[in-house]
Amino acid sequence: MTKTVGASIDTGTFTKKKSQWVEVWGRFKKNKGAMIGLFVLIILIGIALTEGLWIPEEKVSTIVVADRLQHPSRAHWFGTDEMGRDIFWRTLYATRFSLTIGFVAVVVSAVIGIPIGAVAGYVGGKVESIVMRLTDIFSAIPTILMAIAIVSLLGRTTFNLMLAVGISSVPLFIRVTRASVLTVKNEEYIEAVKALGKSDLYIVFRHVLPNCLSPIIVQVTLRIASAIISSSSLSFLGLGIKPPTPEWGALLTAGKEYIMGYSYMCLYPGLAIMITVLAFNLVGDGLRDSLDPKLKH
Amino acid sequence: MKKRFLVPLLMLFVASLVFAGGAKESSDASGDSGYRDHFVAAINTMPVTLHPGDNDAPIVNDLVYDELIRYNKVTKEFEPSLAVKWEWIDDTATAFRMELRQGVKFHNGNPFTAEDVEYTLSNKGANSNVKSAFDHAVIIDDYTIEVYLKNGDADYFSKLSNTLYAGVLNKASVLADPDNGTAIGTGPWKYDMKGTLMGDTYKFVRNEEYWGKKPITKQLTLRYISSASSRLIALQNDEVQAIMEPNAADVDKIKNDPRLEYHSGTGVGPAKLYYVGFNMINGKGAKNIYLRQAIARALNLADIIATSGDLNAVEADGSFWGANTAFRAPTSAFKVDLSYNLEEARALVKKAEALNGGPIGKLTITGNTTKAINMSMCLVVQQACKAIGLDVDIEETDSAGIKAKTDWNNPNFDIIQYNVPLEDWASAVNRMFLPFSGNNRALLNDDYVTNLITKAAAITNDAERARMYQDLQVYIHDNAIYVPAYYGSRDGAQRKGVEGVVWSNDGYPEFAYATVRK
Amino acid sequence: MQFASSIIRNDNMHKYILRRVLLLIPIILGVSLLVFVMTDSAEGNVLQLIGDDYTPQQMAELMHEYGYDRSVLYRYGNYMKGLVRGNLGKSFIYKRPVLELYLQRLPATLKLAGASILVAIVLSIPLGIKAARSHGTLIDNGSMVLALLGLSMPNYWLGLMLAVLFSQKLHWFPSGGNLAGWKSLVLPAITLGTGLMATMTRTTRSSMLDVIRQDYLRTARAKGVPEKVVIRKHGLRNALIPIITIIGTELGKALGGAVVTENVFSYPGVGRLIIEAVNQRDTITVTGCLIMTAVLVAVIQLFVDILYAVVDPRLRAQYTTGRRKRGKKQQITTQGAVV
Repeated sequence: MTKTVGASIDTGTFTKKKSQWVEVWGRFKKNKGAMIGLFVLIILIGIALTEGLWIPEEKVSTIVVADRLQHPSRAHWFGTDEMGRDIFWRTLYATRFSLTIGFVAVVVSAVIGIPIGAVAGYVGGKVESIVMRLTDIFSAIPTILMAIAIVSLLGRTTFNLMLAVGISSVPLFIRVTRASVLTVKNEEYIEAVKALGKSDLYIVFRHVLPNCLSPIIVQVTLRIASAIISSSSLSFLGLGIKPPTPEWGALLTAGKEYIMGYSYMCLYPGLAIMITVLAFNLVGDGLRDSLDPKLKH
Repeated sequence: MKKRFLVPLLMLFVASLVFAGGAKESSDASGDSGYRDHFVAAINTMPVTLHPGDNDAPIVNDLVYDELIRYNKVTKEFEPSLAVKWEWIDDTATAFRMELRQGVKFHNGNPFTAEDVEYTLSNKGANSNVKSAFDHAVIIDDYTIEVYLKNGDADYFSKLSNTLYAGVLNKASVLADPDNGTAIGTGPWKYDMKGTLMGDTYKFVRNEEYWGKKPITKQLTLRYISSASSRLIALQNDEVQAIMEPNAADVDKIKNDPRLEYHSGTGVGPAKLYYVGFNMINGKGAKNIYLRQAIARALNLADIIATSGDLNAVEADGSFWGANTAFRAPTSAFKVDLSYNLEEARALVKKAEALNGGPIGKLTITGNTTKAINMSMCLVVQQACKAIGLDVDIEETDSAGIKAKTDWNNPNFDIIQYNVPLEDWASAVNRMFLPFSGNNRALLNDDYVTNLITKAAAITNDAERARMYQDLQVYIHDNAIYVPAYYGSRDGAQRKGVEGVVWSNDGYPEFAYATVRK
Repeated sequence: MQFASSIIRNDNMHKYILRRVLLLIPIILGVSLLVFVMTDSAEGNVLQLIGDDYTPQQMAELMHEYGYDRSVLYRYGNYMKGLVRGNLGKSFIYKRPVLELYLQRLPATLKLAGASILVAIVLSIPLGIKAARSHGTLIDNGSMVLALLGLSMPNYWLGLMLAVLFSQKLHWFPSGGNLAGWKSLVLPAITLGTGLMATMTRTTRSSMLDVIRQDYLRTARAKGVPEKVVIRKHGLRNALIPIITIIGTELGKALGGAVVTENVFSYPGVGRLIIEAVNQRDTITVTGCLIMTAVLVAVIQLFVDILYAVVDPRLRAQYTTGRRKRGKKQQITTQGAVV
């Protein structure tokens, strides 16, 4: 008996969700900027996933002393760096690394932040106020400074950099999740599931969270953008990925010493970061508008 | 309607932030000479403390403090400075007498006396190079002092010629104010503490009562700018009038710029020796001489120099010190050939594997990779090792990380890429080869080496010392403990019209008498 | 003026300000514990990392002086004792009081943050208004992309490019440092300001859109007031309120972003002090600067919140009527702290 009712509620929310997504896509499609951003992202992700298959590794990392610091030419489209490596291939190859950093950092903050925010919002009371006070404390320190502190605590490796950038934006996810859980938790269907005697944990993850996804998805997209910027900034400050690793921030950092005579070394990795981040931002903004049409006028 | 107050209020708030503190930069009051009153130089090394003996970047020391004895880099002779006479009073280099200059005043007006010399060599923060050998001093009168050392140190005078080791402090001012009292010296420039921002901007005003030659410029500012390209932009923009170490890739640009001059320090003596060293405590090469020799023979030094970007670099020939020291070992003294030869290197790898009883496995090389010059050298070493079948991982770290990795109690690396400044033989040899010295990056603790150094230190006969030091270099070379790669150079650039900057290769540039014509 | 004093005399307002100031205490305590433990146990945080030329005995004395022969908690207790008395300890490398180092650098950072907010305001408000007025057109989309561009560009990259163009090529502004008065501020402020533009433009646009549809604007228009005047006199003033509320947040962001910008331009602010300290493993300086920055961010936020409460009586009422309105209150306090 109980089971059937529960199932019917599930199907109910599911079908509602499906049509909702179609609607969202419909609105998203109309946003030209967002569509361009999405197109760019698909290409970038395509490069990142397949680059091992078609980018020759020796082009990326072999030192050719005779080819040092050559300006862009037909042989080297983006020129070569101080070690004679081809910047075109290195910039391309760096796509995977840079995107991975953004993704992993956001996964870290989402995995930590969302459950905490959901529980805080759902349970309320003392738990909520303790969590939120801690979040206040944590976010009183500007994110980049927090990331710097974490990197110096954990040691300066690529993985720790991702961790640091991720952890430093956990409070953001806690806030966003909690806020939208608060709006959902008093809805009638939640009350209905509660009446069925399901455990709180089940309700949070099965019913509450799926209905709070919109702001979280938007946040994830936007945070990937800022995670890429933050981690490349940390590289620039000498705390992140060091120059030989093909990552855009690191390529840029290596190029900065040559900016006078060889500005192309900075130009292309910089453009790559800008295009990628802009694409994520456009998609994020587009998602925000189409997921919550009330916000867009 | 009340909301209307909000906008101006907030604007006011933001504006007050902008103008908080309001920068009042005094414009150059025109002097009577044809020179500007203010000289600004950009440095790439950060002076950290106000204690001369504790300064990682002693570039400010020569401005504010005087040495007791001056070493003339051109004539290679000692000259009087705050001491006018000095001589050993025994045969084992353990005691000397010094007569001091009279009428010298510190920046705070206190007279300079023998008490200050004793204090300089023995105070709490005194540099260990002088302090560790210092035993006691006997003050004969205000201007005569006898110093007794714990053990023979024939290089003590040479140490006294270095303001890092023995920049003369005023005892009274340090005792009165331990934090700031060490900023008082007798040198041609006084700290302008109001304008000085530690770690960024260092301001000095001319010492009007200097006992020696007074600078023409009235105000001197050193700005710490870590990026070479930023330094050059500042120079081109006339924000600074001289810069240390421009990027090698930009040297042609400087030479072609009619407003600028390029100065390399070559000819004065080598600056830094870049080397590869092996962890002699627990690295894979510690017990495996063939492995060390194999890597030494795999290194094409010309490649290392080419990627370093150092235009005035000189390839090392295996001996340790630069051309200007009498203690240098000639190449003919070496018994083992460790020149570049991949065939021989591969053969040595075979022998190393036999000695090891199996494949060598992965090696680690570490270096201060925050500087491109070190990173590129690590990469070349990695590629060279690959060519002879050795797998090397680069462990990236910074200077503090290096200190952690080369901890004597718990070292954690196989190969290290580093450099050592060659300012003077005596301290360099101690720093590089004596156990528990911070600069002994190979962590060498070898009785033969230690004995040679201690014995040589207590002899005043230079010919005999030279023989010992040469034996030492042969030992280091043949055992491939350190593999010298090249002598790096120091260079700089200045604007046309700048005079008086000493661009030396074996030390920091000297800005004490820098001027710029209007 | 009369208005302001009447507000300050208001009893509820007193209570509100007092509550908000008291809320700072747990934040300061929490931040200091978090930062202290984190930096204190950071990689290589031993005094052995400092100075090549120390004798073992000197080293031992230093360890003792800084409490490194005792536990972390002992050091934290010591540190807090000092903190209460305004003593943040003595820098490992500079051998000077951290508070002194921090205060030396603070004015430069505040100036930079303030100037960058000005730049952001000057750029984003006209852009947002333009976008709102041309709602739905290409101009609207273009303005928003332009604003996003500022956010999408790596800050340091823009800084480098600006330095090459305006210092090296045109010689208009100094490329770094803080020796040339307001001119030193121009390039860093533009660099930092463009990064803050996106949020402000977006807020301006949407609040402007809100306002444009209000009845009183329609009435004004119907009365025949020219469109320009409608926007300037009625629209802008009301649309600015939400923008002002985010200025606190943006100032916090600016204080964080200043770390990168200051390092691009060798600008002697707190950010450069922090990065040098991190590089040199001068953990006590890092700790002090982070705590002080957090306090500063919190105080700025407090200031903006109070200012806002002064203007908006509804909010004030919520703060002073106790538990019932908790949810709302948290929303307000936390809003600004997102940095």
